[in-house]
Amino acid sequence: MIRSTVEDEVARILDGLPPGAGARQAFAALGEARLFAPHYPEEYGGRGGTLADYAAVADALGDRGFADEVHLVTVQGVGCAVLYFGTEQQRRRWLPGIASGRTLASLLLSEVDAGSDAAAITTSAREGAAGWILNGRKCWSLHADWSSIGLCSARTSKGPNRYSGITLFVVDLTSPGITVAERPRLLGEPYFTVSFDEVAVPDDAMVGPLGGGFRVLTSAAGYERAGLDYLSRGRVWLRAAEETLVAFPQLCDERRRAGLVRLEYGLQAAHELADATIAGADDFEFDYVSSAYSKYTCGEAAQAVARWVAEELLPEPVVQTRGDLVRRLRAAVAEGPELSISGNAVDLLLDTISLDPSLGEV
Amino acid sequence: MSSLIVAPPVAVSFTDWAEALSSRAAAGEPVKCLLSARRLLDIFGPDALPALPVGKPGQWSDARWLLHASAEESEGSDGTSTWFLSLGPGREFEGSVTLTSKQAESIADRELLALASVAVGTAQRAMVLARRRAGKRMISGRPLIELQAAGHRLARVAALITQARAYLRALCRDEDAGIGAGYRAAAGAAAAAEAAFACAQALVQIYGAAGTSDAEPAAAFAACQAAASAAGAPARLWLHAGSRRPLRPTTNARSQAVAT
Repeated sequence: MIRSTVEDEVARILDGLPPGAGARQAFAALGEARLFAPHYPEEYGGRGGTLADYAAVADALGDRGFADEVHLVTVQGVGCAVLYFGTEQQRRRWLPGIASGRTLASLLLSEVDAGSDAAAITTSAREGAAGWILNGRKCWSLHADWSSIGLCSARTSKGPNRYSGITLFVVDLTSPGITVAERPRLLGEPYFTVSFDEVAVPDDAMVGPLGGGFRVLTSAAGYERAGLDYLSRGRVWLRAAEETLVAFPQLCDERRRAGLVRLEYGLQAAHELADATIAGADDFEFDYVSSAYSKYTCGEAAQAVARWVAEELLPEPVVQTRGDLVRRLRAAVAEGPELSISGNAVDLLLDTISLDPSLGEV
Repeated sequence: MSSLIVAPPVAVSFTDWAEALSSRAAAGEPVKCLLSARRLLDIFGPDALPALPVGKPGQWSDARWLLHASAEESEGSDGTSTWFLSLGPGREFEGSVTLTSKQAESIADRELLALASVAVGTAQRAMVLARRRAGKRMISGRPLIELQAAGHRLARVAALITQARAYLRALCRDEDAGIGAGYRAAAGAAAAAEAAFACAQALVQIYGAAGTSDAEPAAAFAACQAAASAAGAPARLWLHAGSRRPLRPTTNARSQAVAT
């Protein structure tokens, strides 16, 4: 499969959607053409393509303002965990729905006191009469209200170290005892808190080995670390910024034009690194140093766009006369700061880069 | 006549030329000859080949001949440029070529890409030195690199270098594919220069007083400064890139879609 073929096909489908179509319609349309998860094997609803095909779909969704983070978490985070670590029965049960673009999924990992420290969770699972009983609370999920399933981490035992004893479960979010509550934000789209109160899940909900979920979890979050979803946000924001300069030529001085090209450089350079990371990935495994460079630069580049918008465009009174542009520019300013904390904190990425072996011996 | 090796061979891609420039700079080897050769080939095309004698490896010290080969530009009133090939002091002009403004601009862009590749390689060399020093220099009983402020400073600079390198590679591939880098060449040169300046600063900071007194870091610092300045001030390059980049009205109405 050639990436450009996928790109063209995806563009045709997305551009052919009726006006006002939302992300879920887009997902379903892609699923219809086996393009929501093109890198899944054909028997699970994909086309047997490559990660680059997947990246082309993610790019196209993000560029059009659709919720590519939902696509990312559903297909790569949850779906690939099932694909690579699940049983054949689990694959046949969950993957066709995911590949169809109609079964959306959430990663339920973060907790109030265990944000970037995925081993510090307190959500627990104990053996029940016919499976496992889950208790706990997962936080900061985006679009969990769209999801019908979630991949939830829970502590099933106290292992010899803090990374062992964690197990992953695919959970039907309509199960009794689960509540999905919106947590409004002052900035950006709402988060959701998913609470588990004596939730019974069957034995076959377990993905990967009992007590060995941390290893699966780091892979499940691996793709997120390439940062492609950050880039698509940055590109959408940059487009809004450029449209603002086109709409108000009096703002378009040489300094701002230079600023625009600098931001474009940042996004394109980061895209090159993300592409290299994806090209170098082995199925579900991403080189952690390459991923760190990619995610760090993608986040920085997109955040730079948001900061520039806040400093150079929004303070200009004339911009306030165009409500449509202001809305889009404010969205950039609202979402920008989050890009340094979600997925993987910048400090951890810099730690990894500082030990990059390709920079010579320390 | 002295001779020199033109490496890589003149027939290889622009990407390989840029890579050779970068890796020579990263190894601390001189790059002037390679830059001159590249420039002559860009201006005169295959006609310049006879002017580029090929010798054996290790003969770079005999390369003064090509160092004096240079191109001189004469602007015509019709917007064209005529370039004269000089083979050295006291030698007759042996060739000339008249270029349109567009051709001249394209050559200037490739020159920027070449200089930027050198800047990235030079910065890379300084980064390796800085990291090695940060691993050995002890501060309050701990290697400096274990202090987050130092480690993260180096990481940020490493990211600047890596970004610039990735971007330049993409532009060079475009050049080889017949897609001119255009305004992006100036952007790449500006970014590479900023990365080299940042690396020079970080190098001295990590070395401390030895950064300006020991021969190796001082030479790397000077090389970074020189390579970063070779294409002009980065601020001017950004302005230049911005002035050439056309403003684009939105190409995709769906970019305004709200994800619901």
